[in-house]
Amino acid sequence: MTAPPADPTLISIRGLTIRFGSDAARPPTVDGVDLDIRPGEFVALVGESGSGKSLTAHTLAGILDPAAKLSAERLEVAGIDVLADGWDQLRGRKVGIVFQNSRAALNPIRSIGRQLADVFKAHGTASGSAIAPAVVAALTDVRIPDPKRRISAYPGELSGGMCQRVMLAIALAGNPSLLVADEPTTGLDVTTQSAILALLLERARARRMAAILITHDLELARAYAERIIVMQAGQIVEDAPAAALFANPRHPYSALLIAATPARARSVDGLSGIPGQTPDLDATTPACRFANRCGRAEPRCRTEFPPLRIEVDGHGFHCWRPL
Amino acid sequence: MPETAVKRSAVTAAKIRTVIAVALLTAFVVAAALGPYVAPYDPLAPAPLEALKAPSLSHAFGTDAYGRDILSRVLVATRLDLIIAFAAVLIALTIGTALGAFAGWAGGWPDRIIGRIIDTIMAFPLFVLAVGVAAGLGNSISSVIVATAIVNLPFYARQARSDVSRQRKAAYVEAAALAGFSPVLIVLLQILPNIAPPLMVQSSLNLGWAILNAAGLSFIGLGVRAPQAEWGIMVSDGAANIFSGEWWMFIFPGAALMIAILTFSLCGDALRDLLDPKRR
Amino acid sequence: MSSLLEVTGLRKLFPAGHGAKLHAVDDVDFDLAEGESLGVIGESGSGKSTIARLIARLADPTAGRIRFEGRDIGAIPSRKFAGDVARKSIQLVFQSAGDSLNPAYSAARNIVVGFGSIRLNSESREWAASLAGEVGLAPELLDRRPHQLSGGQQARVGIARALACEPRLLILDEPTAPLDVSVQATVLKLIDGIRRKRRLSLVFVSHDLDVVRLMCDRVMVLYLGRVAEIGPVGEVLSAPRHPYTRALIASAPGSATPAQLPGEATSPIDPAPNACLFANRCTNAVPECALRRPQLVDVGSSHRAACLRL
Repeated sequence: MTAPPADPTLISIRGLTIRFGSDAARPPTVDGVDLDIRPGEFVALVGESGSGKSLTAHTLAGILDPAAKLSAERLEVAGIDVLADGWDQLRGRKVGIVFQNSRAALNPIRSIGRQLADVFKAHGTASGSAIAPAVVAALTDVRIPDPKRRISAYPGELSGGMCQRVMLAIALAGNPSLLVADEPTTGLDVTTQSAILALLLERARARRMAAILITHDLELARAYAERIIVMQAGQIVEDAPAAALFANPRHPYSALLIAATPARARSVDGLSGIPGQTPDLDATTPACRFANRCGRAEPRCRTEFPPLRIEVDGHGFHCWRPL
Repeated sequence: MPETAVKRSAVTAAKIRTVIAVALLTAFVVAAALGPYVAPYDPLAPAPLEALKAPSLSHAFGTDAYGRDILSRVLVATRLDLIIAFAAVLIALTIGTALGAFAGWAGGWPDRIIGRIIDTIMAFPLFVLAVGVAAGLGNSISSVIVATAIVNLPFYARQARSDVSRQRKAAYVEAAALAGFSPVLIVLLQILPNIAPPLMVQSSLNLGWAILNAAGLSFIGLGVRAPQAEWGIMVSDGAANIFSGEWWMFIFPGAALMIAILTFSLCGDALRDLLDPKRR
Repeated sequence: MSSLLEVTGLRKLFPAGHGAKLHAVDDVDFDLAEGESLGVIGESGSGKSTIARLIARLADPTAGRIRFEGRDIGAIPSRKFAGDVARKSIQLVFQSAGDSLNPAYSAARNIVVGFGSIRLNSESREWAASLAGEVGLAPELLDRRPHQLSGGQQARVGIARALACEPRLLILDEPTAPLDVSVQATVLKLIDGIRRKRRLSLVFVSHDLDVVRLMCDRVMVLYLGRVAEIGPVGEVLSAPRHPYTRALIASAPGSATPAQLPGEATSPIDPAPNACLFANRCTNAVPECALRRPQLVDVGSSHRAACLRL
């Protein structure tokens, strides 16, 4: 039995379904995702390619691909009922987003100072003579050394890590209540990665902002997030506090994913892969999309997707035969 | 119109185009092969009594100033025109690609020198070049072929150079080098299959231009000489008779030229569709 | 036991405009014994990929010696190396397997490239099939083109092609970096199995400390083209002596001693020849670090580090 969360939720989603293409018979790419996030929570959304983690995160940020067809029973983000009122209020205001390739996300022919100023003006967070000091303060916040000199720098002059910091500053400029970071450090050096994520965590805490970190790296999720949501082929399979997930994974996919992580293995023999591949989405796709790769599958798994089961400490999973 | 319906009609149009292209090409090839055997009259034999007769049952395309049957001449000319076009394009394709591939692979000085040569060729209009070649090699069909080949060479050279230069850095090329492939074999066996499509499509389109080039040169008196039957020279003869009213003398060879060029153009489109990487 | 591979004084400089030179590899020494697996760890700009390409003879060193089986192969220009007797003994598995396969050819034909030809007769087809079996590639995939294969399958074809050359030394340049974690695990196990079965010597380039820990006997840590530390993998990772190695370990998520590395790497263009390039970010730095370039000193059994403070 679970009690309803004590704080009002920041994000409440029920039955999020995302499809591509016009074939209604084809299983959707994201299949009925339910998600609750509380203010100030730091959540990691973990999955491999095809898991739907990026699509889900883009939905939260209001930047879902226009070609995608979205449907949901409930989609409330930061107090906005998106199904009723649309995305405009969300984008950049309540939700800030940091992308993977930051240099590509920045305007290459505009100095970073001006780009930040643009964002302040657009959101009305600062205006007129207050803008310049606000820009310097924003750059200082993300630990860019020598900010007064850097405001005239162009993205091409900055390293990948610096660009990522600028991206973060831009995302925070609208004073969002939620920060969505989509693989923000993939492709960056390990030393840069740790600095950026530590910064992200610190800023989120300082502003009491909720944050969602999308990553394929379970170790990263464990190091920085309080709560980890594991997705597989468009479905959430497990949703647990980080330590609990690693100590006691309930879903077979989560356990296999942990066993595949080099950091956890003592030797190569201790590593294990996951048999099979992410399933194609067609008439043969089973209800639990891991069923064909799962050593514990039973006939029910193919016909009915297991409902959410929540155990102590809010450790939730979708499995008919949990570990 | 719904999206899928539009796509389907486009695909159907492409299919119709391909069918027409192949049908016409076949017709021309058959005409080239069998022309001399099925022509109703001797294309070269003069028959003064029949001169300048309008199209009739006995002469479907009429006769020319020497009484020769135009239908027979048009048919027989097919072989000559096609041979000139294919020969010229084949030479342009092989030598152009070879030069371009070498320039693209070697880089540095060879690239620059070949680039200058290509630029020089492109500076010459066809007719000027052809006259020069004819002056050097004599006024014959070979000169026409050579001149046409030279003029069409630059496209292949540039395309090959740019493609090879880009593919040279590709990982699969390095992988072949790791396995012991020599540069020549890499270019021939590894790179060429990947850069062939635009070259092939261009060859097809080029055939049309080559025919036009050959026709144009013989129009001005280079290459083919009387009494040989060739579309260009027939149009040239017919041009002299426009104002005296013998319209059939230039219309039929002209139409043959036009349809041939159209055929190769359609074939080029069909080939492009066939080789479209999205469909492979 | 004499080394399979001896690298001394390896340097690779690239022109950086106006006479300046980018020092991608700056005086690197290391050996590889037969049957040994050496990990090469570094971040971007460390020179690890350049070293892989130099040893594979895809590029020519600016200076230094590369001795393989006792012969100086570094002296043979890369464009002439294709015909050398040692060519097939050294093979490289690329980071992006998909790009390393010829898109116009099927998987089988791509494997046959490793035999030095592109002909698929019954004999070569049989060999290709046996190699496919060795790398765990399902036989029905042999006729597919690269773009019809998944990342993991492409990686297997790339490995099969390298094995077709019957190499003694296999260089792997971040072979699992673009793959999903579960696929990476399978491919790493595959590489380890092949290494043991064929008694291969490996040079494994990676940015991931844990992968190197699992796959390698020894590890070499690079910073801005120079060797920071080299030694047995267990020892280097549990008792790192160079501050940069410590910083790398501390930066890994889930590190027992998390810490951030401050500052940014100095420029690799015309770096100070007589200084430690890590000094600007080093918590241990003293004024002398800007005056002398540290040489590798022994800090354990075949464990060396380049730091003036040792």
